[in-house]
Amino acid sequence: MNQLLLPVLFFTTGSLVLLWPRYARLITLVAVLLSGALVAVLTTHFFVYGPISYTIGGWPDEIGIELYFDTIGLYFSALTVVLGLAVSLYLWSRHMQSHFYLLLNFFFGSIYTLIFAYDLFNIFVAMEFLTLLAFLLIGYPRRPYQIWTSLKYLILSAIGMGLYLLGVAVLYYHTGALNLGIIAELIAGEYEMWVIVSSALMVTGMAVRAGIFLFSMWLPDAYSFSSPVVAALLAGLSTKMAGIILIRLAAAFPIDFSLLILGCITGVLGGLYAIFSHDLRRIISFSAFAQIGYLLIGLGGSREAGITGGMLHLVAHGLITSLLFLAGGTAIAAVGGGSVSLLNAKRAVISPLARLSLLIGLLALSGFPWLPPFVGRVLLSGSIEAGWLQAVVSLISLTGVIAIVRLLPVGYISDRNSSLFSCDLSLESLSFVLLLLPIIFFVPLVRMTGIEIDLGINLIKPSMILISGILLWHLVLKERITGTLPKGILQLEWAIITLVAGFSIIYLMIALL
Amino acid sequence: MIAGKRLTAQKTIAVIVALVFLLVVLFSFSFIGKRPGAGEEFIRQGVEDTGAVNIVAAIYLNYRLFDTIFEILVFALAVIGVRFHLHAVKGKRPALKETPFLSESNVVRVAGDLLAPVVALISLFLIVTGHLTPGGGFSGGALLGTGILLLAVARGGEQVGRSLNDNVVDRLEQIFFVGIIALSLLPPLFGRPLLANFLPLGEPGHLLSSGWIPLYNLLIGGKVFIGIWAMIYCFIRHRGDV
Amino acid sequence: MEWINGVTIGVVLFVIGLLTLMLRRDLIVKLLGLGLLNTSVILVLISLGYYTRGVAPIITGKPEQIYIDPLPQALVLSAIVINLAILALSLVFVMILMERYHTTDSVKIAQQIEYERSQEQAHIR
Repeated sequence: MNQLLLPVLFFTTGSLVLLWPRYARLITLVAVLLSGALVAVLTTHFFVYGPISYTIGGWPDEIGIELYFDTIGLYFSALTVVLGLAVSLYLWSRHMQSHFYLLLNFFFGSIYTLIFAYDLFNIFVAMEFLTLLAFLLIGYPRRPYQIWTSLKYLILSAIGMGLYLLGVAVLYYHTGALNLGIIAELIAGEYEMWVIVSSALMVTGMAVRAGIFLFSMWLPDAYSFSSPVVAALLAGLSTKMAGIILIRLAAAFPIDFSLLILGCITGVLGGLYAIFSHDLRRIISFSAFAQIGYLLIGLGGSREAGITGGMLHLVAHGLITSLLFLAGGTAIAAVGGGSVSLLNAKRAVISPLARLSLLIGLLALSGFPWLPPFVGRVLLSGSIEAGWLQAVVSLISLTGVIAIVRLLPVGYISDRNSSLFSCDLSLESLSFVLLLLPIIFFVPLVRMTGIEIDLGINLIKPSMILISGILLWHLVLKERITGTLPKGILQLEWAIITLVAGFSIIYLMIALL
Repeated sequence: MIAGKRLTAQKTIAVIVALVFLLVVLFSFSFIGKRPGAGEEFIRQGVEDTGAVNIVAAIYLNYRLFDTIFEILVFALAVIGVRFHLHAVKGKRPALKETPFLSESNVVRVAGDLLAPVVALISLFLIVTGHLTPGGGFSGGALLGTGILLLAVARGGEQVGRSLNDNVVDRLEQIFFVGIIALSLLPPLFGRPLLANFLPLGEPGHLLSSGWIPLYNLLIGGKVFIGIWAMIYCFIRHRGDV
Repeated sequence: MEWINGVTIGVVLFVIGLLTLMLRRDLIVKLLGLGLLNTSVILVLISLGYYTRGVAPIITGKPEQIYIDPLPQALVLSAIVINLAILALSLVFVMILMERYHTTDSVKIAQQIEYERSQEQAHIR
């Protein structure tokens, strides 16, 4: 299946942008549309014949680079197509330099590679490419705080990828293979020292990129200081790729328990920090920490429903955060600042569609029934048996609700003159609609791919959490939460220290079990 | 006072954490035993499959070409990024003029003039015979880049920059980059899968053999050379001269 | 003395790089540490692929030779280029920061940026 070499399409269009910078945005849009067509071909092939495996150049698996298209590929390539279209429409009337479009093309190319990648070293190379792209994208407007943020991001993820490469080296030394499938067969059931150390190294490396608390402390600054489009791409795709790699690693290595513990830590701490932040983009970034916790807990349970639920949650969160960052960017530009009080006070200035998008995105983030993250959570909590884990998952959901409650007023229609439907038909609002559609029709879309979800029974607990969160906020917490939690942990030096210490913790947890 | 205390606490924790890391990794690396012979497959089949005597070149330009494409992209990105962002930095600050430029010394000028052709010759040899001996596009291109740095040191960056100015660099970079991408897109026209060699393999050990590996080496060598010069030229202009 | 080999030296260098990143405040020194850290990984990769008395993987047709594993060497090529790219790009960004704040001290730069951000926020209110 040559179609799996979709990344090459974006590298080609990237070089075309280099040749004809004047048509950069047109080339990008065409590239995204073409990739959509290729993904459609792959999808139909997937539904007819099942997972697609292809080794580049026609070599055997042992010596070539394998690309693999399965359920993960299906969901995430669909997400990438939607996000790509939304972003290129959003950018259409903003006159970016051709440099930005070049980065954008390469960005999508490396994203598709990571979605299909099944070779450990290919993952490393594509990840590093993605790191450099994200680094340049964050620093593109060249404000000092963005430059500093992207430097922090680069240093942290370079350390992470160094650890990952060490793990790959040890693994290669023992198995003589880089292909994940072959390695998984070779180490099945073995718990030797080299399996433990290499999996700990690789998980730490990926944890830096995936947005896990204590490991990727670059994330809040990178999300909230970069321009809206870049934040949407980072939150919607870049960090999710490390999540995919974690899913793939968890299928091969004995890392269940450590992922479970990491999930609990990142969920609870991220949720707490989200409650104590007072800026729209800060809240979304810290809640991203909390939301990756669901995936890790799902992987840690290593039940099929849990893994599917975690993956669906990842996709859903990608859709929602990118919508929130795009709509939030428009709202913040209209209001002039991102703090909660400012947004609520001046909400009339924000365009109605942006406000609707914010409202739906925030509701979805809190786990409102029918909206995307809810689906993943239902599958997830169905797969968990241990009581303490149920309690932790509920706690994470509760913190998520409390964090976003005070932002909900933004969505109210305050004056009658501006109704939701009389908005201007700009390309920007088209991109919001493009992202809103899959969010609203998420459940039927998921059902179409053959995943059974029983929503009826599971309505009670999430609604109780939702209601109790809202009540808790208005009755108890509203006046009490004013300060912020210690910010030192976001400092570069502390971030490196927690990252290295986190490696030892992961190692211990893998070794003990 | 408190700030100082916090800083020393941070340092102590850092040292402890790093030592724990060192112990854990060294401890578990000491358990690494002997492994089954890995990489024998490449040794056994490499020459037959790709026609290249140098198996490393066979791997990175044939079996694992996809990784190498990324490598080229990473390099291109570095060049693009450096050029894009360095234009924003003002540079040429008078304070730096106090250190004399290297090109003002006679010894450097004469030695640089003498050495530069030798370096160029060796690096061309490395690029052309990348499939036969250790070498190839990256090492040869990097050597050529340092060769031109030598020339810039000897004659002054501005003079070298006059013949290899921004326009020329832009054009050459586009040619090499688009050439590499186009070459990897060609195979389907010859009925081969993407990123698979479509040229005849020839007789192993000869200069014109092993399919498209020499072609790739030439393109990559040119790309790396131009990229390194573009970056050096940016830094040179930022400082004033070498 | 068999334990003194490329792998252990590589790990020690990795930790030295980490310590540089954690303890030194100067950004240029930090980047040096980052370079050391990445290079040490390359050292580990290469020495894991080395056999004692092995020959470079260039097929000459002579019988009874043990060739060194060629794959790590091909992988290391990519890793080296990536390190170069990381260092070049981060150096440019350090230069931009230096141009503005006239220091390479990471703590001072972070404080300055924090201060500027808070000024900006106050201005909006």
